[in-house]
Amino acid sequence: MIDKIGYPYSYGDELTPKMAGNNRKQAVSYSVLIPSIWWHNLGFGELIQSYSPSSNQPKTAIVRVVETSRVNSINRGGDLGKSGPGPRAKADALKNARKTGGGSIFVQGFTPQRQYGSRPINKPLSCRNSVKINQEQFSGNRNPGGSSSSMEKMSKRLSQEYTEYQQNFNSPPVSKRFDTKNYDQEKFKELAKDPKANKEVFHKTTVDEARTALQAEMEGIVDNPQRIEQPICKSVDLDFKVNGPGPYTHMDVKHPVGSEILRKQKSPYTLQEMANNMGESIVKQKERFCEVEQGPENSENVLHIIDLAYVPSTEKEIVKEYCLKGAGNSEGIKFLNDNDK
Amino acid sequence: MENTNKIPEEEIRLKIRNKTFLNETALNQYVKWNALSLINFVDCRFEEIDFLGRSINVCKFKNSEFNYFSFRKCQFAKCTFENCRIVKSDLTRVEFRNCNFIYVFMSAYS
Repeated sequence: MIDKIGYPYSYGDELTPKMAGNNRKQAVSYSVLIPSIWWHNLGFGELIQSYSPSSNQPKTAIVRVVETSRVNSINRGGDLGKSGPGPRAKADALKNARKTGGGSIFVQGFTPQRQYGSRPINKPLSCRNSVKINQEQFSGNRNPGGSSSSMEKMSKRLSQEYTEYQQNFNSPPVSKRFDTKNYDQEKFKELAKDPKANKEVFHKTTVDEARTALQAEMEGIVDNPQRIEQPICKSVDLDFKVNGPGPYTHMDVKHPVGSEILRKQKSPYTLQEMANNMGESIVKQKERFCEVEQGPENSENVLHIIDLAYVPSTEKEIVKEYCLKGAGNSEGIKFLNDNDK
Repeated sequence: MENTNKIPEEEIRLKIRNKTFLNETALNQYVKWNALSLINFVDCRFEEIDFLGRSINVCKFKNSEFNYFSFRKCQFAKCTFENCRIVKSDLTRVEFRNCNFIYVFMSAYS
């Protein structure tokens, strides 16, 4: 046998009593060192299980990390038939000792010199948790063309009120709602803010309005919806200003609900009455801000979007019919989510 | 038109007396389905509450005071205000339908 530096045997060498004795000695020392190193590096209460090397079989020591619920399982599969730690564990110990700027004397003492047949040191297995950090939570989405979270998820993240409504009251959803990941998240956040509030507030109502505005823009119903800035919004209390199409300069959003929600709200009105009242109020709103400074020039410049997201499919037609009946005509009124196809 | 949502007269209403609501959270515990319904508020005070877009159905407010209360876009249906003071409050785009106001002092928010 050719003498080698470090561990003097190679895989495939014939097992001799001398080799077995050598293995046993190494295994005893590793069984003391390894648990100390892992316990120190991982910070666990749970210790690494090591099997007694005292058996006559020299290559039976198995080292594995006990799974815990706190961290991902670190499974050191592979060289199960070896005595003592494998090259991966050694490389880990070395790597972590470098990263942490030292580590315990056990780590330093254990840190091996690179040996024949060991894994490349620059590719160790890491002892760290493989938890992925969502950068978006810290920096926001800077991609104006798309978003990593859907509009629905974003809405829930912004408004607790919205989340509670969807989870507790609108579950299962009364109607299939438009949702997408292909939207400008920053613009959505801007639109979802209450423009009249002095601080940043996201109400269920304002989040719903923002969703409707963006959907309407995507469907080509309006161009570039924006909130009306302060202090103008205090006098011109319409939801959005828009750049068209056609004569539209302002837009307002309505969210009628279905009869089931009305009943639960203990509303004194029927579905038809609610829709009829909404149509009547739309006509008044179109006129109301026309003579106000920076308001719409006339009622034809105000578009009303009636979003039927909270109306079940079976009632959408009824709501549409009675809204138009209350308004008298369909001028300046558009419906959104009016079918669940 | 058939009224299927008719509320029976004998229905037990929640009565809240002599209570001060200092924020939305305090009042939101009584909000169900985005609506405040069938509650009698007597000798209550409401301070700095933003109640944007809620429905208030068949409620009575008696001897109560509202300060810096934002009722914006709220929809009141069959509510009664009696001997109430609504001051420095935002009432833009509020809809009152079939509501009664008896001795109510109201001043706008600027």
